[in-house]
Amino acid sequence: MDLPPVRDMAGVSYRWAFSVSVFFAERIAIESPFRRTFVPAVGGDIWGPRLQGSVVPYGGADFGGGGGPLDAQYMFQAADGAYIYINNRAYMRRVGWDPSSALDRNPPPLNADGTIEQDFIAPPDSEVPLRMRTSPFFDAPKNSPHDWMNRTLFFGHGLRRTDPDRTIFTYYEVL
Amino acid sequence: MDEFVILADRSPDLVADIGFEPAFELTLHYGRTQTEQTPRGKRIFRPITGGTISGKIEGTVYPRGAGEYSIGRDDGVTDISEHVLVRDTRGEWLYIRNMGYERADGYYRVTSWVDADVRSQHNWVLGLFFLGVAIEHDDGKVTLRYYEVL
Repeated sequence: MDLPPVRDMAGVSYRWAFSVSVFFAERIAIESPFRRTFVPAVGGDIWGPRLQGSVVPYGGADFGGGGGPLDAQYMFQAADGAYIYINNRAYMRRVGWDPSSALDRNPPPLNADGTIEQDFIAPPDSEVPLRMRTSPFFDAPKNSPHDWMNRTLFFGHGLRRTDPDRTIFTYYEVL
Repeated sequence: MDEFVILADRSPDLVADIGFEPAFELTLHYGRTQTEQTPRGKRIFRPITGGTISGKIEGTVYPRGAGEYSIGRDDGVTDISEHVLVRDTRGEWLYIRNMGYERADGYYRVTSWVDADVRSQHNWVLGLFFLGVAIEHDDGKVTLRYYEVL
């Protein structure tokens, strides 16, 4: 596939590198003082000009916490068989969110029988307008066609989708 | 893994756009570089001894106790890791965490997470990260132009 055109905004050169859909099946929230949410990646698809392949089923998860950045660690398998580690640090900010309310966080109430509810599904961004941006770092095999990912800064854009539950990430390389 | 392929997701219409908007500019002054060969690579330590920030945040870099702790890799790339403390002109404090790559070809780019007090005038940075495009000057100072990722 040909490389897409290099774009420039305010002096930053960048171009679309590839996209990834990551599928989810469960979310486990631990309401620790800094809240941690465990969301395993059950699989996914990778396409685009600079990388093609799949997301390794149950090859990792988002372990993010703190009400701060998402912090996902999982594995890609490129079409040539190479395994590539991704540490995807991201933010999800609801549109219109007031930063001064950042500390106003109360855990949801317990179920009537005293157990902790765990059936939360992140809504699609058509329902809850969301600004999701990611800054992934990769470890790819050296001396491989993917070595460039070890020395390139990326930014991504995430779109939430349901039916099935997934997020579509669009990744740009910063030139 | 066809069960995880939704061809409609590959539509060019779903290539979500991204953009960059200038936010602030940070110039860092460093003390003497100390490097040690470690099992992880070459640990590069430089204390941050001062500097300035301008743009949407105006202030100075706190000169005591912050620094760069990067790793020089065998392939010639440096994994940048840097912690910076900034005080704005009103005395409000911010923390800037830089992570990225510096290459021999002059490519020096970082992602920066910024922490501000939720009560401060800079709380707009909370939860965001920024792209930093760095330029190393002949005297060793580094200027980072930061962009909000739109």
